[in-house]
Parts: sequence; structure tokens; C-alpha cells
Amino acid sequence: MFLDPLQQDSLTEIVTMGIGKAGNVLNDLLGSHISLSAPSVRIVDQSGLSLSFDKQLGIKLSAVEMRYSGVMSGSVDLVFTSGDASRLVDCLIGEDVIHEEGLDALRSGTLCEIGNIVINALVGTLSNMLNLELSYTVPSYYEGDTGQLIARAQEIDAKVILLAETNFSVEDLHITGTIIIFFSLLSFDTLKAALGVYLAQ
Amino acid sequence: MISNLALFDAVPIGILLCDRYLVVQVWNSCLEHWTGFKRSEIIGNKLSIHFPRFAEKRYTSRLETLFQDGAPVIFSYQINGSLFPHKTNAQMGKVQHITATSYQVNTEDYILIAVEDRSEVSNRIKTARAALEEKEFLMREINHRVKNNLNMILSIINLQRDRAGSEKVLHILDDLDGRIRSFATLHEVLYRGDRVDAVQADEYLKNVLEDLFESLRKPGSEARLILDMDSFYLKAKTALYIALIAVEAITNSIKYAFNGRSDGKVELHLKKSHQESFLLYIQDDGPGFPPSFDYKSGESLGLKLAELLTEELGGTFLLGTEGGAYLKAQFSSGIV
Repeated sequence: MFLDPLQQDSLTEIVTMGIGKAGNVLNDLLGSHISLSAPSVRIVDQSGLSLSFDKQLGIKLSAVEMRYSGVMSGSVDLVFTSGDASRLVDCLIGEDVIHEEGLDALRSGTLCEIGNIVINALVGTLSNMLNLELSYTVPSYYEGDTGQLIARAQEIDAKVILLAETNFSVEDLHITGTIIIFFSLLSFDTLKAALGVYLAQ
Repeated sequence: MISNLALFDAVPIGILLCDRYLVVQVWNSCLEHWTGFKRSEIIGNKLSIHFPRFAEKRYTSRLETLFQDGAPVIFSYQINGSLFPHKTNAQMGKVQHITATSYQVNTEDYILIAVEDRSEVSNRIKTARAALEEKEFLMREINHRVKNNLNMILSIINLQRDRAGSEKVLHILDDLDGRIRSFATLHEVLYRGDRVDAVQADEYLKNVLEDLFESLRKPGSEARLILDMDSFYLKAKTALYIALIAVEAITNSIKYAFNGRSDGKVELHLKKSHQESFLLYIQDDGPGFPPSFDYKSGESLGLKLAELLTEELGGTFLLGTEGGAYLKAQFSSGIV
């Protein structure tokens, strides 16, 4: 077990607040009703990440990534299946559904902004609530499959991974996005210590 | 305060620096060119004076977060349009992708905004889309014509039926009709459908097989075709092969399963099992294959053809008898 129940509850609460904030920013920006459901939050290791994406095995994924550094280092990604990413972008910009593999440069820019809003709201809430000083890279878009996602976790030596699944609902469209925060062991210890301080307050 | 402006002027992207009140401090030459505003008109003024959208809360609130947690902010073209339009030429530097980051100069916090012109990319995408749309239009046109030609061939076969002369020739013409009809229906579904490279499997097979069953069923027969199919898209070639396999199996059942009776049934199940895998299972309630039956020896051209088509799709093929004759084919690719 990575966190005790109290720490897990607090983290879930903070992530939920972040997602709620992301929903508000998206609504303001798009002027249309988009809702993000309360996320289900899990902490897993690399094999748990692999199991979580078992259903998407062999399916192309589209993701937005922001790396962070400071008192902790790692990466935060918002991941969709490419089909869902395409449907979400088309729905938000009011285009007909285009049957294309992946996203072109303009549409990937749009997904980057959506990912940017969601990730910023989440990490902003996390760093504010837990007093973590972090700096971030500019968000970037990438495509790959589950295998590449797991290879990324290995490449950045992420021993602990936070998974937060949320549903994006816009008009009749309901799709699932997964926020993944990759932590090194040291970074996760920092998070745990910060959660300890937060709970003590 | 801000030195080394030459660096900002040397890069092929628009760069501006403003303070937390969105008062512009740096406006590089690229932005001068793209917007038509000289730096002398902009610097020292609030950004919203010439670009009023920066007075809107949805933009100011996101930029304010740069001073709280420092995470970069993106404004994409498709969501925000052009945030730095040219003052007279609407086409100049129109498609913009903007990244705002926090930037510190002498302990003072600023917002560094980088504006990329993606007009060229956008034009290339539009050109590619137009070419794709034209290709789709032409493909539909071809499908329409091929369907018409195949229907003409079916009419000729139908005319030939009157001169068949024997039951055997009639059976051959029936078999031929069923096979060609699978092609014709595929081209019709592709022509009418929303995709030119794939068809909805259940809709296509229903069209082909219900017509086939009706045309081959003996007059007065109450035999039924029961279709139980999941709804998913198959690549056009895969769908055609699946239809041909089903046509052969059902034709075979109609020929041999209902001898001496007016009722009976053929069931077809098309089930998506996992990701790209799917199963085709066809079963009748007749006497089954004779014990000595060996389709591989060429006793049945149709079933041999069904096996070849399954192999061509990389699937596994099995014929057997269990409460009637059955054909089971399993595939691991072809779903789109």
C-alpha cells in the first residue's frame, strides 16, 4: 500500500478539487457546458499501470504531457484513446467527425490546450494545497500505445503512478480521460510528507 | 530594464513580454510585422487597448495563474481564433498558437508570450483535406458505377436462367448470383455509407444474406434465417470476404439442410470478442455433413472457397456437425 487511508482520502479530495476547477475553466473558455466527473483516484506501480490500460492494449493513444521539477520531479499526462481525443476536439470546435488516425497539427494544438487546462488546474491545486514549489515545461502532445506509455514510466524511472480517471461530458458525448502523474520514489516520499503536513493542519 | 532586445528580434516567432497588469514591455519585430502595430504604439500600454480580448476574464484569469503556480498556459487557434490579428490585413499571421510562460527579469515577474504562426500548417491541412474529400467523392462515384455494372451482370445471369436447361446449371447460376450480389451490395453500402474504406458489418451482411435467403429458399418453404450480430465496422475487404464466407455456408445449408421439410432454420452469429477479434458462426438444424464428406477433396467448391477466404484474412476455419452443420471462423484483425 502506497498511502494510508487518510492520506489516500486527502489526495483524492485535492485531485477532485483540481478536476472541478478544470471543469470551471473549460466552461468559461468554451462558453458551453462541459462537465468533468469526480475522478476515481488510484495509486499503482508500473505493473498496475500496465493492468489499468489492459483494455486499451494495441489501441492508439493521444496524450498531453507536462513535465515538472522542483521539490519533486516527474511528468503529468492526460491520456485519451486517439478516437476519443478526436471526438472530443471535434465536439469542442464544432467540426464533423473526421475519420483520421491521430490528430493533425491544429487539432493536436487544441487537445494541448484542453490538457493544459486540466493539468494546470490539477497541479496548481496540488501544489497550492500541499505547499509544493514546482516548475513546469510547456505542454506537448504525443501519440503512442500502451506499450509506449509503460516504456515512458520506465524511462523516467517512475516507481509510483497516480491514476485519476474522469469523464468529459459535452452535449451527448461522454468520454474518459486518464490523468497520470508519474513519480520517482523520492518524489512520492515528498508528496507523502506534504500530505502528512496537510493532514496535521 | 529589459536588455538584449536583439535576441527577441532574431527569432521567427512573435514574442511579447508584459507585466502582471498586462502592460507591454517588449514587442518583437515579428509581431510588428504580423499585427501591423509598431512597438512604439504598443509598449507601455495595456495589451487590451489594441487587443481587447485580453480584457476578458477568461483570458486574464488564466494568465494570472502564471504568477501563482507558474505553469505555462496555451491558447490554441481552434478554440481561441487569432488573438493577435493584423490591424488591417486579416489574413496576415492568422492561425496562431500561443504559449504564455512566467519569466523573471531582475526579480520582477513577467509574462512571456510566444506566438507561433501556423497558417502554413493550416493551409497544408486544408489542402490535404480537400484532396481527401475529392478522393472520397471519386471513390463513391466508382462504387456507384461498379455497383450498377454488377447489377447489370446480375440481370444478365437472371436472363440466362431461362435457358439453363438443367437443375445443375440453375444451381451454378444461383451460386454465381449469390457471390456477385455480395460484391454489388458492398459497393452499394460503400457508396451510400459515411466511410469509403469500411462498412458496418451487421448492416451489410443483413442486406446480402436476407436477399440471398429469400431468393434461394424454395417456394412455400418456411425456413428462417436468424441473424445475431454485434454492430461494428469492418474494413471493406474483410467485410466482403466475411459476406462471401457466409454466402457459401448459407447456400450450402439451403441446398442440404431442408430436404424433405418445409421448416428449419439457419443461424448466423457475428460476435466481437476482444479488441479487433471477432467470430463468425453459422449453424443450420439439418442432418449435418455426411460422415464421408471432405470439402478439401473438392466436393464443395463453395466451402473450399470459404476456407481459402478465411485463410486469406489470417483466420481459423472449422466445419463440423453438432445439431446440424456448422461453420466456425475466428479472426483477429479487420475491425476498424
